[in-house]
Amino acid sequence: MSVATRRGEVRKIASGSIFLAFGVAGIVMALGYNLGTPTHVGPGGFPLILSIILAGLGLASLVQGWLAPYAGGLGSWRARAIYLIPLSVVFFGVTVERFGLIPAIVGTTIIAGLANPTIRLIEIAIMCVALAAFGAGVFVYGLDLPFSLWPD
Amino acid sequence: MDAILHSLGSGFGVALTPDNLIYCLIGAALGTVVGVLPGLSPVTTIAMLLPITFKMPAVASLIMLTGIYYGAHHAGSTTAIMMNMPGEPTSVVICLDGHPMAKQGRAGPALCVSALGSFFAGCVSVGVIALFSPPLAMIAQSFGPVEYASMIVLALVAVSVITSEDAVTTIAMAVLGLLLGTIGTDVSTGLMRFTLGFHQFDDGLNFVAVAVGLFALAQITANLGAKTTRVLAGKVTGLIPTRADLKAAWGAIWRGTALGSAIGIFPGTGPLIASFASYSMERRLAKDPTRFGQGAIEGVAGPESANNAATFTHFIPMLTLGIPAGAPMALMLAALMIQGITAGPQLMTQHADLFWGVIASMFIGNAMLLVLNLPLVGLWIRLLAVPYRFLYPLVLVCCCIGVYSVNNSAFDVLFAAGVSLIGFLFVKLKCSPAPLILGLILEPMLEENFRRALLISRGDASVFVTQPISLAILVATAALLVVFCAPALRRRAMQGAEEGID
Repeated sequence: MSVATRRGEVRKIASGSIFLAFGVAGIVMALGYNLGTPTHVGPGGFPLILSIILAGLGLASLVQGWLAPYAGGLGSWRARAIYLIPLSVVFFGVTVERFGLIPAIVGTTIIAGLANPTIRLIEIAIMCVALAAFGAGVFVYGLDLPFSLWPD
Repeated sequence: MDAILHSLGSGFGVALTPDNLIYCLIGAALGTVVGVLPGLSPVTTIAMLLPITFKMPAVASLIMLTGIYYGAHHAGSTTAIMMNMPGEPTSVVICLDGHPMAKQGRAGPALCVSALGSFFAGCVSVGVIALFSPPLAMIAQSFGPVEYASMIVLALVAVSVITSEDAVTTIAMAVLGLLLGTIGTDVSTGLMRFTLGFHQFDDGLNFVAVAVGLFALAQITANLGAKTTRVLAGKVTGLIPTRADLKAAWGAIWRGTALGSAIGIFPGTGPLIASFASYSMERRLAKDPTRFGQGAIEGVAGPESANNAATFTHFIPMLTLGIPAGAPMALMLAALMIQGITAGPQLMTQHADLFWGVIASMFIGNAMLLVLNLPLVGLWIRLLAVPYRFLYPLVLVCCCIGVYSVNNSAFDVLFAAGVSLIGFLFVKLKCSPAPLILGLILEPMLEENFRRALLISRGDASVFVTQPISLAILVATAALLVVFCAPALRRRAMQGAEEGID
């Protein structure tokens, strides 16, 4: 498809769809709770109102986007950071209780470091040591947060 | 007046204790670091450090967090002047004339004038907080559930429409925040709503995890995707401005201070809009407007003063009504809640030591910032040489530790990782997360007041338009919607800002 024939603003269509999806899901779930009466609004009442507004705004955004001229795509999605940054956080969450703070920090730093394609291995190694020392020193010894440093 | 001075005096008693002085200094210094470094925002830093303030006394934690916030706004201009790149989004206007000054070898005077302007604006606008908060809180105390519900709607709409071109998207973000705020236990019936079976959501979504995911983590991902080059312009030789510089700057400083103080009070506006407004005002007032963009000192002094004045008066709605005027204020409100303190009109009377202690600390912090920014400016400029690739792993590790520490819950960390994916999607789709965060934190208050209002009126929703104060608030809300959503009108309202960007 040539650029000239493309239409619609991708950004608005995508965000509108997200809002519409949340709105519809909210309506369906809120209807499952007691809506109450106007005087005694039940637990489902307020979420239902919000969901209807959200679905309406989502639909409006969708229509706006559909009618608008093509305004370019969303840019590149190929950056490694998109999955490596969340993954590094997940690594921390999974390991911190089982293996202790220092292994969690080291792993998180390695994964996060790899998110930057220009990083050198020696830099990652230095950061691992520095951040592990920083984390243990400031948060465990300094602020007395209840982390175990190493696997029990 | 006497009562205010007396309260302020006791506030200084709180703020001048050695512990609180140190927290104030830590806050101001951290804020300066964050402000100088592009890619690290005060919202990120506050979200990241929020959990470690739990163990601190309430006054100390708020003194430190506010210090980070205004310290960052104070220092953001350094980066703008030296590198033509805003250290904080709000200092983007300073690039326009500050950077040309630096290229002409006048970085020193530009830095000096912006530090002096910030200091002056800071002192005046903290005075405005002290002076205007007590009467405002008094008025707010007469507000019932009807007025409160309308007020929250006004704040949410204002934050949504003023900050973005695309009102449908930003209002939808606010409503999405409200809807996410309903997750958890329903206060009046004890029913679990929308928890999807996760008992971790019983007390609602973890606010810190959402804030860290949306702001800090998503921003790291976005920053790594973007290509940036940093070039330092020239050296700082002498800091002292010439007499002509000072004469030209002085008028701009007090005009910017007045404008910024007034603009900052309203939800949704804040430092960025204040600095744009000041820039266009200075250009209009100038005898020779063509100097602007080529290193006019008024173009640095005015916006920088307006920026800092608005930074402080931005606190007023949160301190007097319990309604945050923007995303950083929402995080301050969360910090208070975590300490078990309800913000609102009763804050000033029930927690007088906290309220006045924080205000007094703002005066002290301003003085500290003047020292931190003027004699030590070379140190911060050297900090600009630290590449982002060493910075973001540090932020990331602090985020993980912070989110975990809220409830000592690994689940929260995983949740924050999930939120960061959605947050990155929002960055790509240009959906500002600020209205969402505001909606999330204001939902319990809005729903409670909404339901109580209907209970009192026996289910008659017209009560929102028959009560005069509520009607006035809703008319103002409608006016905002009309002005900012009608494209022609909007263009006129934002003309100043656009001129600034050109």
